[in-house]
Amino acid sequence: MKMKWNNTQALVAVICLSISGLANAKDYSVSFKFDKRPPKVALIYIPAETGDKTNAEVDQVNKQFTTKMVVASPGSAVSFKNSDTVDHNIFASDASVGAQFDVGLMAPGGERDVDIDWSEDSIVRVGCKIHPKMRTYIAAVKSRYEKVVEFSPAEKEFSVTLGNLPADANKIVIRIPKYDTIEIDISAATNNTLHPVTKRGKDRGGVTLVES
Amino acid sequence: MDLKQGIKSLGCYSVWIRVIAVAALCFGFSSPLNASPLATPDRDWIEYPDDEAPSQRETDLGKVLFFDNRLSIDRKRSCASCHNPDLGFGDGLALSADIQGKPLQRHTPHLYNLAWASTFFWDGRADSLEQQALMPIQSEDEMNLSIEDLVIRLNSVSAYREKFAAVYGNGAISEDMIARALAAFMRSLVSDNSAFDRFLRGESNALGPEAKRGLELFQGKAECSKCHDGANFTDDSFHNIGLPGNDLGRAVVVSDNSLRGAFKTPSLRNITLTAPYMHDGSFASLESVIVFYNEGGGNDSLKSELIKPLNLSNQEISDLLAFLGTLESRVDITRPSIPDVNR
Repeated sequence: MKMKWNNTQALVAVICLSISGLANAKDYSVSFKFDKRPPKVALIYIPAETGDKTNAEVDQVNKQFTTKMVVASPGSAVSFKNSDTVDHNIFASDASVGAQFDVGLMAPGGERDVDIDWSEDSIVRVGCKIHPKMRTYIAAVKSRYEKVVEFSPAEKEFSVTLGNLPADANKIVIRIPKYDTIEIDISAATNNTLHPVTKRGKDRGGVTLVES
Repeated sequence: MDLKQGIKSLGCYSVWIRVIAVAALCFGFSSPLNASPLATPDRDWIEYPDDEAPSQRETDLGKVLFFDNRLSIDRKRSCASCHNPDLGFGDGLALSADIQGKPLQRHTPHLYNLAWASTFFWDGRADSLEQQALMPIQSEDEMNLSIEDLVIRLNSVSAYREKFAAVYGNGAISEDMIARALAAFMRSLVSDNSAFDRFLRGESNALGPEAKRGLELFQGKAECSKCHDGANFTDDSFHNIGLPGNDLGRAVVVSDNSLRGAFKTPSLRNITLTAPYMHDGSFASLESVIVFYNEGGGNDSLKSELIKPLNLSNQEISDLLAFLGTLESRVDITRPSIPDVNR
């Protein structure tokens, strides 16, 4: 299940959780602080032994992808649609993880599936040959909970709520394209520990995780 | 600020302007063709290589390099030789002369607002300004200087060693530093205070009646904003508009023949300063460009379906020209002194 909530939805989820008495589930507040211009998108997820994400879908409207990142289990497929008024030509070329595909010219109304047949635990940039500004990412990860966070370029501080995490989860992973992977142990009580955010080894800010 | 906000802030100006504004808001005036809204470029959206703007010192260093003839093998041409600030960062020629004096294959593109661009050159063969900056230097037809020789030349000049050290720390001047400095300067060439930008900020009189009609045509009947959209009036994309010639364009870069003859949509910011036009410089005036599009473009078999006859009247062509004139906002450059020119 893809979980991409706005604040209201997250609040409703928290309230529902309290009412239902699912005391084992946990909620967290994640706060990012970037020293410089923030990235466009991050993925927060709980790793799993097996992935069960199917039917991931990305559409194209107004010369843009409808999401900045899509999560897909390795071995599954992502369905690309073209609801735009112009042709697109989606492709990816990331030899480091063996991700090479080119769906060819896709007319308005078209739809093509792309098999996730490259290395898992990877984030691959997807673009359009005709419209180079178009950019989205496929995160090929096995997860049992994930949340895609989209940042604004002018806001260096950003908080997001993770609602109803599995109680037995012991690790949260944060992946940001071009940044180093962040792994946070949540098996013990969390506190305001600042976990460094780095990009190719250089400090770019920090993230804190607090159980709420 | 986008167009809607600009119109909304017209406030207490004349009644008829408010009527237009209301109509505009009601009918989605800002982007009736499903295009990105026309707007003033937002500096928050510039993607810098290190996620922050370069220092003034780095930009100034890039400017010195940009004007330095030392960057060509015969020391007779700089970046500014073709990208002349006094000629709209172009050279006014259909095709510039190569280093042998023969015409180059493509027209010199202007450099305005490349800070927001995602792809560079007419065929998009560079993905970053840093990558782009070094390519004409090494091109056999253009400046024909190897990076190795350039690095040696610059390292031999004490003033350059000092300038580079002040920006990048001590150590020999490197290819990466040269690229970054040149890119920093090019990113500083921002044009964002045109009459149209002032109109967006609420100065209703910044556009005259002709230009206002032209704006409406631009986003409507003339369908210009299907490609020339967004804050910089370009979709940064590649289209075959049917111009004759054997230039394969984007097809070579992406190894895809469906993009044969497709070239990057140029930004229209300061377009009145950058004649002639098109990738081959084949149109001397903006009016001839609009007439070309009005007639449905050229006849290439791969011509984009977006290019079709427009049935614009002479008055409407005149209105479009008036609007394009409101996109002018000059970027004045004081030429730097070049260190130790004889070394």
